Amino acid sequence: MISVPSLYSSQKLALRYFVLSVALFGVMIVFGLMAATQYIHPSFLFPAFAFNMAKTMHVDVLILWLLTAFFGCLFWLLPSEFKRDLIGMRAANVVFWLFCATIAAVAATFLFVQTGPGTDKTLWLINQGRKYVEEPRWAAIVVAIGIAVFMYNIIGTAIAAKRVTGIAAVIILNLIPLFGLYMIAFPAMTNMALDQFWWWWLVHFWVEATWEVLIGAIVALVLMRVMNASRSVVETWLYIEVALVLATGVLGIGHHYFWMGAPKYWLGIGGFFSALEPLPLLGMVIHAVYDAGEHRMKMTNQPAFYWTMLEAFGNFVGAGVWGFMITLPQINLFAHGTQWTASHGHLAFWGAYGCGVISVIYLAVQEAGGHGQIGGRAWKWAFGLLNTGMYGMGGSLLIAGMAQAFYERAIGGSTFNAYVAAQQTPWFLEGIWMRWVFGLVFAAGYAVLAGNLIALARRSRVPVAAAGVLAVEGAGTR
Amino acid sequence: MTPMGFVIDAIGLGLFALLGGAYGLLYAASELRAERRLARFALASYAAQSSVLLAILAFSALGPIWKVFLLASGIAYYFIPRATLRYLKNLHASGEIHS
Repeated sequence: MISVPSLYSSQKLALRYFVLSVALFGVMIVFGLMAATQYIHPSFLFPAFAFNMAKTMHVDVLILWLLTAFFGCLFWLLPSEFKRDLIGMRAANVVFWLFCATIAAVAATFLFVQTGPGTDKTLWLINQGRKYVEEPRWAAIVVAIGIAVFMYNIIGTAIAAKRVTGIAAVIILNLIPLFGLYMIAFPAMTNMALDQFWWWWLVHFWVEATWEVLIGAIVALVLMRVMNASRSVVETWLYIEVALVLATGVLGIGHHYFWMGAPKYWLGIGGFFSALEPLPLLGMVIHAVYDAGEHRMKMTNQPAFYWTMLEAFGNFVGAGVWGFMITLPQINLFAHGTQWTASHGHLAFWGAYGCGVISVIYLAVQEAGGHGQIGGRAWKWAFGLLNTGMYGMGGSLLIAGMAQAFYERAIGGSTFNAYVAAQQTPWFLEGIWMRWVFGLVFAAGYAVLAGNLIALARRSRVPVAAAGVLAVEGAGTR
Repeated sequence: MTPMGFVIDAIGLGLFALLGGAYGLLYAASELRAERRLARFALASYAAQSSVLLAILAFSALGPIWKVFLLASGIAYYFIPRATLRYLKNLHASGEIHS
């Protein structure tokens, strides 16, 4: 056991990031529900707040709630890896408040200004216009500075501690492409094919490479804390997972290059490598089952354990199964860009990342509050409602997307008339309605989750002075 | 590829991956709990996956290269859970010794 006088300053900052992240999670749901409502009633809030801005807010806040949660996860978990506080915390705190101010300013711009003429001024002050990275250029610079400071916090601490564990090494190496790829958020190319080609580097290599590695490292740290898993086992498995994910995921980028003007050879490369992507995810499922069985379901934090296990299964289902349905070029020709893709996106993001970060938030709440096992029914209700809502939305969007691909693309030949006709078919309409209903279920789950986390935070059982001891106790020292 | 053919192919591919996952999950659970019933369910899942694969190979409009690839994947799905589990057992055994 390592005695420390209080929570590490990085862990205090982690708690702030978790509060921000959970709040953003709620904002994402609100705008998701607005967009879902506009699918049913297209005139809802029009013209004050059109569908395109509701969707922009929904997908951009998705990235932000996960990114801020990742920051929180590492600020919470890494002191136990380095056996010391992280350095540069003053700068990190400034970055946190800078992020809050930037998010508020960009949200206000998207809500009240929305779009501008095709000039440099619009790019700098209003909207860069590229999905997921619509934030104006000044805000993108703030994000880049934030990630750079985050790298300094972690790499600087490793140098100061003269101690780098295997997991910390993976995280550090992964931060370099995480930062480097974000630079692609800046150029504004007038050639659409070229612009899309590089933009996918940012989107695909963040989501299907660097984030996968990051969540793999985070889950490894969680398993050591929650199940007292052996470090050597967890680290070895992490290396294998990273190797397999990168081996299939890097060239798997080709499945985004099928229909945007890239050379034809991407059809074969993208199809082949992305079709291999479920295989490492299957390995993760086996690992999750093995860990649960090996430790006879004994864990120190039930919610964190169940959310971690769901991360493995959800990743396989959302990214693996749903992705495999539409990744071969012959199928993708009809399915890409339909609600089918949205269905895959929802389940993959939720399974791969949402579940993983919620697991760490429960872990942090337990450790900071000095709770024993987290009991009660609230977390179970949140778990049940959120997952019923998410898988319900995924299923509904799948039905709507299949109808869209069938009527609009395969039968109608992708004409505008076919697009409109497909939107009127009962399969599509009922799918869109059911997505809205399950969206409400998901929102209810979020409300229970947020309420549970707030209640746990308020019911702190130990003074903060002792919480730091709990935070590093038994954290992968085997 | 006909409009209905593409939908059926996509559903077949999804089922193929899903049943592979079910096989892996049930196989790992059956080995850890030493339960024959689970082992039988695991094999049934793999049999169902193989049936879906055979249907895709026989009736799908996918090209021959993709069919060969799917056949190889189907064979790999059989061995992945076994190899993974064996490796994990060895890893945990050596991990316990070193810890």
